[in-house]
Amino acid sequence: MKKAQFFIIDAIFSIIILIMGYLMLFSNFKIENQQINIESQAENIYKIFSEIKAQDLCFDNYCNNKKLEELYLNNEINLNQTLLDVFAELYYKNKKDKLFDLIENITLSYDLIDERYGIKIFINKEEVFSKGKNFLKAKEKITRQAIIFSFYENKETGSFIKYGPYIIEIIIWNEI
Amino acid sequence: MNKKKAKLNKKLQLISMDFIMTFVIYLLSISIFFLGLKNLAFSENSNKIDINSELLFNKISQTYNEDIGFLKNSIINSESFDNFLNTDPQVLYDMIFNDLLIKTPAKIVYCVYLENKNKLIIKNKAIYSNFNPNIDYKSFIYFSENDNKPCGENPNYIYRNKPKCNLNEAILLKKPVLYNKDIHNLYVFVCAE
Repeated sequence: MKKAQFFIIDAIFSIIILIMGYLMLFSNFKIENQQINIESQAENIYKIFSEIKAQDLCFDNYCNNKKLEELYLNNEINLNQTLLDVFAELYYKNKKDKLFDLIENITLSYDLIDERYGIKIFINKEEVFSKGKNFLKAKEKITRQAIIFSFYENKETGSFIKYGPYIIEIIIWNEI
Repeated sequence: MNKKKAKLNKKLQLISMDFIMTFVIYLLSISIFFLGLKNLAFSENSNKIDINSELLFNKISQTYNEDIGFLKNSIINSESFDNFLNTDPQVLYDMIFNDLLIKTPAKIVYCVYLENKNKLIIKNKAIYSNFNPNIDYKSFIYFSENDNKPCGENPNYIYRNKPKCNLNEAILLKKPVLYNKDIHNLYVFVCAE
């Protein structure tokens, strides 16, 4: 009899827990369905890189993005150009580590890439940045491309040095 | 006889316990199954709202009224944005948010909010149409901190948590933008039934 009592008590507890679980699952509180599809994700990141100039993030002696500020104060980049142009300039100067760090810092600190998506950035078919694991397995990939010609001023000689054309390719895919 | 009864009792106890455990595990598996299908199952609902993110942000960018058209090329004009925040929700609805859906639900509210890189919501605005004057539309989207304040009631108040919706359908659209010399995320939270 005692055993039966214990079994019944266990069953009652599990039924209570299940009922609580059902009530929580089907309660009125709605979690939003985030509608950032892959095309929007690709368009968002491409527009930020191609429409925002580096100087838009900076004041006279400092920038809101610390990586950008470091590059600017060390005279490694020209601020009066878009972020895509800045990437191309760093690529031209063969500062690929700094290029990777800058892209990583911008995409992470401003939460530009949803965790459901991976991203690769190529300059002239050379991979300069990657985040995500399932590039090869992904069934759907979206690409945005831009051709970059730009220039920077050599502050020592005062001459203008052109670089490009470079083809910058941004590829977004579903990680899930 | 007593021994036989005792043996029978034991067997019945074991059988009933097995039955109960099977029942419990079965219910648990069904619950996990439906939890896993939660997002997929409801996406087939024909009444689900579906707003194209690009269309919405293009409509915001192409507002003909330059005083409140705050978004151009991923850049927010601070002055126009303040004007936008101080404009009547019905006016904004008629100007921008009307005709976004083929079939507009009976209750629909939009909450436009701006989040900085520290994940703080620094500006917020509710937009809705007063289809039915008896319904308090602005109460459908609210911030759970600060006593469940409706979206738009304090446009400049800083919130830590995203707003919540107490209707059946909710979608969140996002666009990174430049505001005050830094990249922010502009969200449009749509809540409808």
